[in-house]
Amino acid sequence: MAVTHSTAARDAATDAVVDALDGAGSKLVFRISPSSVGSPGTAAATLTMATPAFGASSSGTATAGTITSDTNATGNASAVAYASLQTSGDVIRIHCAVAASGSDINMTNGLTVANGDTVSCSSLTYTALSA
Amino acid sequence: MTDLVGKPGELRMTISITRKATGIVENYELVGQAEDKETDAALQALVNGKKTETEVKDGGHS
Repeated sequence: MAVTHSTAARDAATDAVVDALDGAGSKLVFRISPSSVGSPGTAAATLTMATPAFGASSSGTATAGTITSDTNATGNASAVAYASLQTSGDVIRIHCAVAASGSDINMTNGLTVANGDTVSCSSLTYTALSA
Repeated sequence: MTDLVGKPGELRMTISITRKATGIVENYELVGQAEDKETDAALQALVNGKKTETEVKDGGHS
């Protein structure tokens, strides 16, 4: 039987996570494999989030404010495999896989960032719980 | 007993990469689910208002 969460509960759960990223200098980091919350590994691009990083959750989803591009990415010959949302002190709050089919994030092509590339993020949302 | 796992958090983003070498802009729509067990533990701790050992320093790029 499916579990149904109220909108208020979904907003509370989402806000609990994204509020931990509201301090100045939170980051969106793209990484190569291997990477985990415990051992983040090598970054290919680092983008700076707004302060606060997210607005209040609505209908269970929080939307990030303006994210500053990485205009001179470190890059790596290996494909980006993970994305992290982390505080200015580099405490990871959200971590997920990024790769071709079979990963947590599905992309039609592999994603490789070269040194000096500009990486931008025009929209970002987070939803903690399903309805 | 079956090890049931609930639906994890979802992250959606639109990113663009402007290639330094060519100037070409590539656009990607990404949808991911933060189902890493460590992240789940961190989420649960945040909901409970606690810190956990999964809150670690990133030793990589800053």
